[in-house]
Amino acid sequence: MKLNILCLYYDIMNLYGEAGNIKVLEYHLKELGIDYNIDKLSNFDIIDFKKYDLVIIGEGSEESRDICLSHLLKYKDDIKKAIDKGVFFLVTGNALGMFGKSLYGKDALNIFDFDVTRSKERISQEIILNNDFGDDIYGFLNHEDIFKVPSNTLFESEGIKYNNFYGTMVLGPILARNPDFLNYFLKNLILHKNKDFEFNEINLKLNKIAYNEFIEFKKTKKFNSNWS
Amino acid sequence: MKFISIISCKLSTFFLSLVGRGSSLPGTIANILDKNILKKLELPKRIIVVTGSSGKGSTTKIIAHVLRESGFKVCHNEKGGNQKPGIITTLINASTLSGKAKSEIAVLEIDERSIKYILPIIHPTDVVITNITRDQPPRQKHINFIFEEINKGLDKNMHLYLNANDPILTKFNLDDKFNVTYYSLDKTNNSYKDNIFNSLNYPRCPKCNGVLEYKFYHFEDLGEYKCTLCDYKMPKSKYKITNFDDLHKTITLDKKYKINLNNDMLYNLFNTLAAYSVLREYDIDSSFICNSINTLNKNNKVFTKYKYHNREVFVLNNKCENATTYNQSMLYTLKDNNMKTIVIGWKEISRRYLWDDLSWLYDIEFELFNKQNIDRIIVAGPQRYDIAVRLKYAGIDENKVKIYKDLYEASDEIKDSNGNLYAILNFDYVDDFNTVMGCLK
Repeated sequence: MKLNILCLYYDIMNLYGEAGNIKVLEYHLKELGIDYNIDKLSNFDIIDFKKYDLVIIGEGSEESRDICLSHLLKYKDDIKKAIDKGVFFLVTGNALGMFGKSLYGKDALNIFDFDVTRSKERISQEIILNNDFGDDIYGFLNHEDIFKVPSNTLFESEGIKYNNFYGTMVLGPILARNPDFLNYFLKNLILHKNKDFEFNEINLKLNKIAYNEFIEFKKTKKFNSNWS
Repeated sequence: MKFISIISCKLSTFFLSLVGRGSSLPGTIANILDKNILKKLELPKRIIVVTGSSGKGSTTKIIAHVLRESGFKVCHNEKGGNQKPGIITTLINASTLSGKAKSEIAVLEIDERSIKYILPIIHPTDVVITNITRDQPPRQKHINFIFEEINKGLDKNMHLYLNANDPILTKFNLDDKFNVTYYSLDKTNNSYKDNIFNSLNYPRCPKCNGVLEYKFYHFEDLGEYKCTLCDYKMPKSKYKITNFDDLHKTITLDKKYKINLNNDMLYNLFNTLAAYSVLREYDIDSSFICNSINTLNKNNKVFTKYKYHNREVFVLNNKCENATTYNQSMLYTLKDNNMKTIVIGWKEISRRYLWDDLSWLYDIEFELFNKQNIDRIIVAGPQRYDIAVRLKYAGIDENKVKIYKDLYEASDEIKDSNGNLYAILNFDYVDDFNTVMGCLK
């Protein structure tokens, strides 16, 4: 088994530690002894979506996202086919905005049924989300997109899950900080490629402590009058 | 109202100084009493503004010091804030009761988000933009946003000073409307050929968004570059650091003039060069500038390097939520081939808000430790496990990472470790570290 991974727009959609998610996946694929290949491509490249088991796109500036969207529009049908075929997508932060019907009034990929408008104030805050994969998701938001998510949300009231498309506005980086979700995502990615693979436990010892310590820390953190 | 506003500012500054506080409060009061107070002041003839993500304080400090030594009457917001109220405090306190400037030159450090509110009123003669980097993402969004914010405050009569090694800064003068003085650092022994900061923004051509190709890098996006698609390339600079002797911490400017640095981190080279460029444009003699900066550096003792039982200790000051500062420290560790112990930590991610954003940890190139001879990495502070997770994903052996609640608990581990010590700390942990090492009581 060899997993083919595409890090799309690795150079201009990589704000806020978004490069972290691929580091996490690489670490655990190595740990499990799974062979993989990572292609890093951007808006000057030709993309063959049929080649990949997983496509990752992260958050970028609004300007970068416009460049990427006009490049991606050429591949609208290929992307739709790939998602229907069960290719995994991990789309985080404002990259998700490209997959709706329209983005700030301009045509988007029209894969999911939502329109994105621009928020006056940037949405920048911590977020905790209930979900079906395990413990609550802890992460960070930093974007300007407002849209009503269709019925198939990824987490409680947030993101999109359709086939193997995982879309969320949560940064964080989400995989490193949320061991349950990471375990679920990775297990499904691998079993989809090879259902007979014996998925052993992966090393998430430190991640789990960090997760619990962070919750404890937030409970005790007091408001400091110096904050403004 | 103008007079009442001015006198309230001066009086409140006086009373606040009695309780040992210099602040932006007097400016806030003055601005409430007369919201056009800034417009009504008769400002110094020449105003030098320094803005950017970092280096504002150090750069203005050098400029103000040398100008004063050259005999100019200077006002400088060294203690006041760098947003509008702080600027008002500084300017009122440097003027007469009728609002007439007592100084010839104002040297002002201004917050990059406040530029658009202040510059159109004070019309500075000179504007230095030190850099625009990833900094406090929850507040500063991203570099394109900060670029636009600064750009809103500029007009074509201002003389700009820009680092030619930084492509995003050269974008300010894309349509050639400004009088720009560029400065740059020539290739040094620490320059490198291929990008080593893989998690950060790969800069694109300011003109056509094409991919930039680098002849060499100094650090992150800084270096000598040209576009692979169009004719855009690094602009020619008027002032240069032509040599950097990192053994003696000496820089040579324009092939001739030497300055001894007490801090040889790359950002300090650029801050010094920016100040030098402004001072040269004020017709101050190069030798005079260098002597004056040397005196300033000699009197400004900082605990950045000392010995502990024959081990070299480097205390590197960083800013949480700003991966670039940590990356400069990473680059600094690469210079030393000896065995090293690393200490990483902070007390608080942010003093500004309740949120704790950790994303920037993944923008720091901790992977660079893999090429080094590391005895152990000691992590401390409330997010010690999050740092440890990041180090794990950088490929560092988990057994080499030692986790402690704070620096005091880590004290024995730090002292028993081997090799030179590199403390890569947020500024709020520096005093604790120096206390643990016994050089602050």
